[in-house]
Amino acid sequence: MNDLEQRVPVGVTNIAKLMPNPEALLTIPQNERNPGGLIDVRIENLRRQLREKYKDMSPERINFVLDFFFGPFNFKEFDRDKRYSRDEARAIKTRSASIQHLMTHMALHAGSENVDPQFQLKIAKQLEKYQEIATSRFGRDMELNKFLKGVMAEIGVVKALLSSGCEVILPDYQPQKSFEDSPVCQMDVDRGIDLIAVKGADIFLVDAKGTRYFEEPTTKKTRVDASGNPLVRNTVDIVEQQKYEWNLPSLRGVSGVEEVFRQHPSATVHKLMIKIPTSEEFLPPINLQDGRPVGNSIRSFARLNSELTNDIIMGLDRSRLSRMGLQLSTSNEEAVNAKSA
Amino acid sequence: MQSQRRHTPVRITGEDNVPAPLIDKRELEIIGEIAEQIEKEFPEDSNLDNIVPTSANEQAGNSDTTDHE
Repeated sequence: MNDLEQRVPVGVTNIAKLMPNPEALLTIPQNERNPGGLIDVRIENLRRQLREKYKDMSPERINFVLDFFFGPFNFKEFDRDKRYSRDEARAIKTRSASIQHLMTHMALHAGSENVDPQFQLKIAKQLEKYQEIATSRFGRDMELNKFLKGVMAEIGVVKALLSSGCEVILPDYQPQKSFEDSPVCQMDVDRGIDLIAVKGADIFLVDAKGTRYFEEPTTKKTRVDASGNPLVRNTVDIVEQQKYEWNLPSLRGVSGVEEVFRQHPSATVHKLMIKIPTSEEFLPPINLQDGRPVGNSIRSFARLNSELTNDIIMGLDRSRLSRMGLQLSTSNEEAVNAKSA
Repeated sequence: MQSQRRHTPVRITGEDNVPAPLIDKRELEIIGEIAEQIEKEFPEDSNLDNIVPTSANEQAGNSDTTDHE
C-alpha cells in the first residue's frame, strides 16, 4: 500500500485517480477538509493547479470546466445531507442540471455534420469513459449511472423531437453571477422545464425523464410482474399538464422561456412530461469498439428506435389537438387586464 | 467576478446542425487535458468493479448517512 492509500479513505483514493496529481491532496490537512464531501478536497486541489496554469481565466469558468468532470461525484453526498437549506439544494440542483445540459449539448454537437473531428473524438471517448465508470460498481454506488441515464434520456428526447421537425432550445447552462439568475435554475430546477420544442404554431415546454422500470402512478414504486420481477419500461409516456394546473403569467420573465414567447407571440403553449425507457435495449450506450466511424457511433448514442420516436411524434400531435394548450396572445391580454385591474 | 451578460439559449434546428457548445477553445483544451488524464488512469483493461468506494460521511463520523452500498 502506498502513502496515498494509507492516508486517505479508499473512495477518495479512487476518485483521486481521476486527477492529474492525486498526491498533492495530502498537502491539505485533515481538519480543513469538508466533512460533507471529501471529494471536494481533491477538486479544490486541481482547481488551484488550473488557476495557476490559466491565470487569465476567470474562477467561474475554471469551476465550470471542473464541474463537467467532477460535479457528478459530489451530488450523492449532497443529496443525503439533510442540513442544507432549500436555496442550497436549488444551487446544487442547478449545478447538476447545468452539467447535464452541457453534456447533452456536447454529445449532440459531436454528432453534427460539420463538427471538428478532434472535438468529436474527444467527446466520444469522454462519453465512453463516463459510461465505463458509471456502470461499474463504483459508479453505481456514486449514482453516476443515474446521472448518465438522465443525460441520455435528455439526448434521446431531443433526437426524437428533432426528427419530428421541431426546433429544440436548451437553456443557457453557463455559470451566472448567482445561481438564481441561471436559466437552468429558472426553467429546469424551479419549473421542471428541461427544454423547449417549437413546431409550427405550437411551443412545447418539455420535462424529459427516463426510467428503467415502470412505476406505480401514485406511489412511484417499481411495478413488478406476477413473479415479483421488476417490469422493464418499453414504452414512451407523454403526460400533458392540465390547463388548470399551470398558467402563462408565471412563466413571463423566465430567462430562456421569455425569448421563445417573444418570437412566437401567437403560439399555443403546452407543458409536457416525456418519459422514455432507459434500458440499453431502448436507449443505446456509446460503443467505440465495433469498428464503425466515430461519427456513426456518437450519432446512434442514446437514439430511440423508430417505434418509440414515432410514439413521441404522435404524442406531440395529440397535444396539439387536445385543446389543453394555452394561447399566448390570450394570455397577454389576461396579464394586461389583471395588471390594470 | 463575472459580469452580467445576455443569456444565449442553444437553438438546435436539426441533428446535422447543432451549434457549438457554450465554451471557448481554451476551455475545450482543458477538458481534453483532463480527459486524457482519465484515459491514462483507467486503461481499457482496468477492472472498475474492484474499486470499493467509502462514504465521505462515514469517514466524517456521521452515522446517519452510512446506509449506502
